[in-house]
Amino acid sequence: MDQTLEPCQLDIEAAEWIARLSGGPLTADQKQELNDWCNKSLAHKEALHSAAQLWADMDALTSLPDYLPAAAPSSSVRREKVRSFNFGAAYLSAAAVLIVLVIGWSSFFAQDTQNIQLYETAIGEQKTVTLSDQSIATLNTNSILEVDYQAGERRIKLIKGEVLFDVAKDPLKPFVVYAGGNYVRALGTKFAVRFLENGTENVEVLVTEGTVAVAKTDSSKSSTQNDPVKTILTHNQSVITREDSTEPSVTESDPGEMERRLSWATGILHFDGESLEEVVSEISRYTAYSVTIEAEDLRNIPIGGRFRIGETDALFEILQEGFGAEVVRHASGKISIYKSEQSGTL
Amino acid sequence: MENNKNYSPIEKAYLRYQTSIKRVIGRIVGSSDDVEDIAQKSFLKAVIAEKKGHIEDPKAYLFGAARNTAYTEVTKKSSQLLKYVEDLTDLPVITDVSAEDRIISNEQYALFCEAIAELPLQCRTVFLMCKVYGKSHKEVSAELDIAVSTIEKHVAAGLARCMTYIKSKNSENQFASAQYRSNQKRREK
Repeated sequence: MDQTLEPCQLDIEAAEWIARLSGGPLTADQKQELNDWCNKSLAHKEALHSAAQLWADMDALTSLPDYLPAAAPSSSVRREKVRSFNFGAAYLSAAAVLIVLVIGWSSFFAQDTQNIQLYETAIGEQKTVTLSDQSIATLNTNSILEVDYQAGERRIKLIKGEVLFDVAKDPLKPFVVYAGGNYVRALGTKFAVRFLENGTENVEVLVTEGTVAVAKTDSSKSSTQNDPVKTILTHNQSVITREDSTEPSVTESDPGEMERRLSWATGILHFDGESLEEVVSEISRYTAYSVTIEAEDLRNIPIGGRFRIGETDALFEILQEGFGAEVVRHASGKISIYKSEQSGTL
Repeated sequence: MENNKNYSPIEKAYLRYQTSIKRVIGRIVGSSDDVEDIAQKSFLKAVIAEKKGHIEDPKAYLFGAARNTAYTEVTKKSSQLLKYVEDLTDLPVITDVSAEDRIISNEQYALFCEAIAELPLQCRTVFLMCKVYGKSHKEVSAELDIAVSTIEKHVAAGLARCMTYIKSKNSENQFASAQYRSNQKRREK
């Protein structure tokens, strides 16, 4: 980390050309100069090309300030000095977000399974396990999974929490996940199952690849093996089944939305304009402390950004810096979000 | 609200939220000149979509359309730059995808962020304003009160450092990804 990497001369020159090009059109002389520079060697061309490619790829970062405080003050303050100060603050919070966005590589480690295996994660913990058939299960925070591979069926029971499955193909042995009063049947596919609230039978199933069938196990009624009502889901579809409703409704999402909703599996929570209330309830799943919002008008502010799981402090910092919130940690471990007294005085 | 009866849901939503829609666009495109234009374009898109079929959530649709149009506008400039360099260097291009189709993975996104976080403060500020907030060199120069030529220097230094950082991380990760691939292969059997 400490060793600073100094760019090589070739990259420096290539980057200088891209910076110049991004500033506006080149003069005829400059064009000629760039042409000559390029023709020096293949390495020159490649350096220029990869600098341009990176510059274009970095456009993805424009989605970052979407929900951050506006760069320009929206209030009708006319004082120039205040203006420049606000600019500084906005960029600072942008920088704060940037620093938080560090990826947690999910580790792949194999574990032998025989008969019934139990996998468990504590609050805030995540775990990826490779099952004996090479299927991969990624457990989110506060989850319990029971794996019981039998001769004719790969039987999985989700006891609580949320798990993402990447199922190895085996046409002879269906992969069946039981959760609450439901089961999800798959062959080779990728899908997630989660309890909306632990301890209930309300379950959500998200499919990113392949097709699965979701149905109620309906143990209360006679188990005549006759087909229960099945919901067929294919990629980018999700369904919520509740104990009190018989009609599960299928939701279609675009691939980006699906990827966002499963970003937890890479150690990142990705928000895209959800209200602070929803964000708080989501991050509460990863911490043993309860977080409450005490300021009504903060409840609905939209939050965007990516947060590393477990780095909830970063969110609180941004709330304090950019949204006029005050975050108080009580001795009991409880966290309250208030509206800051001084907000709006800047 | 009652006299809005003749308006379609999209039109109603636009009338109600146009200020925040424009603010969202403004944050993406940085410079204020194009905001009105992009707002109009995205509104038209939504109206056309509405004529084709019912829109479940007009507000969400409008904001989505505004964001998409704004992103396309922002990425247009660097796509042109990339195209120019591709023509100039005449290297074989692996894929020929437009800016909207370029998908950046979470990993890449995080790598960009790490690379930028490593930049010296002044350089990082300039780089963020240009790349993340989409401002022109001239606008950044006026806001930070430093010469345009200095802006260009910071952008160049920032880009060069990011290139170096990403290169070093990629070679570090080669081992990890090789392991990942062998894992994948095993599963495919």
